[in-house]
Amino acid sequence: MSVKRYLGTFFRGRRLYIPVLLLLLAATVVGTYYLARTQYEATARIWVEKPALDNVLDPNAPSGFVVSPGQQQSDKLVQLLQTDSFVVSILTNTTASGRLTSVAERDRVIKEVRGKLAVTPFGSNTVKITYTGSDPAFCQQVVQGTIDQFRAWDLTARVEQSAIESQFYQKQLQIYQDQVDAAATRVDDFQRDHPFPDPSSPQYLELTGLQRELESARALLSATRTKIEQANAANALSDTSRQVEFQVLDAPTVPDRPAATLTRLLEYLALGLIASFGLIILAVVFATWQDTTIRNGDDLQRLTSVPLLDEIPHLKPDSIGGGERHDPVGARRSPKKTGSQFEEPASVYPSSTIE
Amino acid sequence: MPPQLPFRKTATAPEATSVSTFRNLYTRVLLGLQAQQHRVIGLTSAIDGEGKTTIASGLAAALAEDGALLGFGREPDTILLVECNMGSLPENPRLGIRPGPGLVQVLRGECELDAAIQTTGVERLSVLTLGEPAHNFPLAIRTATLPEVIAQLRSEFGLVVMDLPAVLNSSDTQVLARLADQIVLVVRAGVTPAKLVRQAVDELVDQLGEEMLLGVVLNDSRSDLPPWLDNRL
Repeated sequence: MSVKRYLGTFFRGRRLYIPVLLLLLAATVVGTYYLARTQYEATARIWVEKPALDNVLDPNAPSGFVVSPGQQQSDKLVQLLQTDSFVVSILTNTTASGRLTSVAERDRVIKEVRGKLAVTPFGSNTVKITYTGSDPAFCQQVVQGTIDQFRAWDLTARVEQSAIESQFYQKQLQIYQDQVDAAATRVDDFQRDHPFPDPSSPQYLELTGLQRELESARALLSATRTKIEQANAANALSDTSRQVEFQVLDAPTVPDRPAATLTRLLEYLALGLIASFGLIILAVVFATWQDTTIRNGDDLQRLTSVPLLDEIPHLKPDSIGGGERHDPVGARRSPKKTGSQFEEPASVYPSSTIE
Repeated sequence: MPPQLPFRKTATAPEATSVSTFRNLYTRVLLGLQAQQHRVIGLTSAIDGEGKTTIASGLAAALAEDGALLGFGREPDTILLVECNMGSLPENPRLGIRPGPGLVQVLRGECELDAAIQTTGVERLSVLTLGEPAHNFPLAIRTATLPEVIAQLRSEFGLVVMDLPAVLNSSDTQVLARLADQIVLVVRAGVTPAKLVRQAVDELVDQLGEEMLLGVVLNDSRSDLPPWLDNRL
């Protein structure tokens, strides 16, 4: 179908389409105004650093740090927010805590919070946490709760990790200590049996081997002791280092004004405009598709090879024979002009009763 | 800047009166009929309500109005509009049609042909109404009298315009259309589905032959677009 046909459908139904379009646009404006007026936003920005002794504690970590600390912490927080327990822990200290009693209501609140809470890395070391809602105090509480819970989780995770590492190295230390003791005993026993072996004798070679085993065991023991000292040092540093590694740059405050930024308003308006026009276009396309009638000479020519003799405009029944044509455009024109352009008799054969 | 004439289409100009509106149509119709001395033209449509009576009336009135031009020096042609479509041309004081005998009575032998033909307020235009009772019309046209009546009308009038029933609604069209020299199919824009138009064309071509179908007239044609847009597309 040609563009003209679609346009024809639109203009033919303009008394329907244009009011609907205007209604949709008005609804968009009202909706945008309502959303902008009733939506509040609490935001916090957190500075995160890579843990100070991460490389020491984890020698297998890749040397080239591909993911930025901001991205890393943001990913962690996003993952945590996907767990119900974490979201519930955030909501425990908010005004929504009373809504967590029933399972259905709890799920609804969790879903709502997830939908409105945004965590985005902002640069390499900053994480931005934003909550948008209709209650300004609740917005602030959610963001603050998120920071608190995330910090607590991070601390717990690190402490637990340090403790596990410490236990692991302590066990390793015991094993290596036993190995050193065993190797030393073997060397002592051998030297007791062979006090001064000749360097060219096989006993001397065996003693040398035993001494090497002892040195190797001592080296492993020493390395393990070093790791334990580093883990302890990390634990000792935790309070101060974590303050540096996790700083709240902008603490969330209770918003006192709706979050009606120009960009957001324009976004809403643009979406509304696109949706409104899209709906009308779809309606016009559907109406055109449904219209199987002949509309013009082109339609007839496409349909049949029978010649088109003429196209007769819309006429009032009583205009046959020279009466006034029933045409809104023509009706607005000056009768004087009509007479001067068409020098036809006013009436030839008036009939108001033909079909 | 030189003065410019305003844009207008001949057929759809709002100022156009019906004579000028139908002049283009009758010119094309007459060009299709010029080889014959006496001419009978039938107007039909796929379904009822497409404006075939409007077109037939307008065409007949315009032909009568311009009769002097058609005569080319001869006596101006007289035009007869024959109502073969039930209930389409009722009485109208302005037209001057009076209640009285019509085609049905003539075919049933109840009235002379000349007595049934009425003159109208338009010079050179006469009308032969359907007559009464209309329900007898289908039987009346299926007699041998009808071809004789049409032959007589051919000899008496310069052009006979038959307002026929719709092709897909009545089998009477098959009987009546055979007596015409040419058939014009009226299609109403925005009303007639394309499928029915094709069906009507196929039926006419099958029954009468392709040469009998002079052409199609698109009635009630109007552009839905505003002039400024229509001119650009």
